Amino acid sequence: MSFTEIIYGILFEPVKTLRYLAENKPLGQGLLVFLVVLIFNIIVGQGNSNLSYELSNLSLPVQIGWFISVITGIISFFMLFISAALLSLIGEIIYRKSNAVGLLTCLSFASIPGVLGPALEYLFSLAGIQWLAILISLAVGIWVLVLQVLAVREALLIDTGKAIIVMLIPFVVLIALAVLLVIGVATMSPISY
Amino acid sequence: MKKKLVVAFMLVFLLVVGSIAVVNEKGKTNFAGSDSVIGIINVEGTITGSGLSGIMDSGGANAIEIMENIKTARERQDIKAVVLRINSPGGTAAASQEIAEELDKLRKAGKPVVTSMGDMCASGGYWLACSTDYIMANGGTLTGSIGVIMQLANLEELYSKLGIKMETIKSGEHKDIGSPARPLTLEERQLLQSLIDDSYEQFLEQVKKGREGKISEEELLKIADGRIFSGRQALKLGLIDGLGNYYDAIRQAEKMAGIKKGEATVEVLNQPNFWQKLGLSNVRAGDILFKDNIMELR
Repeated sequence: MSFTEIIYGILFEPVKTLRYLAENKPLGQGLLVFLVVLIFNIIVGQGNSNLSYELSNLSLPVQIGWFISVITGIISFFMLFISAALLSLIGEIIYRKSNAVGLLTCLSFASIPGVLGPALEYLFSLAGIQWLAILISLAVGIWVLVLQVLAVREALLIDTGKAIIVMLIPFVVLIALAVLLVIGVATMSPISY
Repeated sequence: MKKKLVVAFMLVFLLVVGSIAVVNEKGKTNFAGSDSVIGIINVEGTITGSGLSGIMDSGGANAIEIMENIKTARERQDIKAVVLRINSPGGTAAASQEIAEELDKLRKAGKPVVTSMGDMCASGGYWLACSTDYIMANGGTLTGSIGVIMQLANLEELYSKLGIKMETIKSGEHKDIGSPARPLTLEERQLLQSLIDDSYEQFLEQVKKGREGKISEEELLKIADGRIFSGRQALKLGLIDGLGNYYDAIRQAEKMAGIKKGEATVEVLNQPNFWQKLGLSNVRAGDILFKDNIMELR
């Protein structure tokens, strides 16, 4: 598969393409794609925030917006590695299936539709059709999420239900930790009766 | 072929959208917000022509950045008026002059400029204020200080105590004028005095031009000896137009631009960035180690 075919495949033939990526692991290309998507989203996201009436009313300094976008981008890049490692580890623990590099490659390419969301959102915001912009943003978000599930499925060679469980486990653990933290803080309350 | 076309189309689309975002970010075109913006430009600290500041400096008011902001205000269609918030003891003559020229261009473009004085708006700061349409100060603001100063250190005795002897090779008699290694000669003193006098004349012309009809030349000459005034004294003398705070200045700018009260969006054009807030912007070792003695309006 050529690079162009991979990009086309992720958008229109995701299962076949992700299977190829999980087996062949073109990680360099994957990370490059992820970085390009990230940088593009930072630029267009900044444009979007300039159009936001609510944000402009906050009178935030322009540089703060850029600073937050860049920091978010850097965190996203590191989170990609952490996600791939974590999901692969969960797959290994629960289903005895792991493929960290393949999963990292698949997740990197799965971000491609994410570049279309902010771009279309920006265009529709410019045209003043805010509701459509929000709708498209939501649709693209779901598209990327579905691709991520498929990425986990194809990389770990498990079925869709198991892939969803693998993806949900970190969130469940996070929620459980948050609940425990809240309970812990509440019991440490200095107020006594 | 079909796949290549789809990918190429997607790339072109993304490039176009990205370019629009970049152009709009630079121009800060306001599509969705209010179409009447009052631009705020802060002049904070010593006014300087240098784009560099030391680690321990608060940064000062950099002429290039301020001129860029004024230019932006002139070019943006949505900015209807500007409030120049000055909190400065003054600065170098040339830097104050070039900012004032840019302010004149902004006013010529039909955009009213209102000065809002903070704690202090003296000397070079007042020079800038004279290039605005309306000057507003607080009663306790320190302003005035119309004058020019140049201070040179004579370190001859210190050098001798340290055993340092400066050797000077120069192309002309006055090339080392102001050298810290020797006292000024009478001729040099006269040369520098004439320089200061000329700058002072220019300062007076600026105030006369800016305060025309509000203070007579005679009155001005009486008070233009470097003394400072409170905002209230300055109002009585005609050096400012009114007393009021920052918000009063914004309201005044709205009024002068013909915008109904509270309808304009206020946008600060030169908020300090993250690094500037830490005092770490554009730091260069040479700037920390060497500082020139230049003529100042302070």
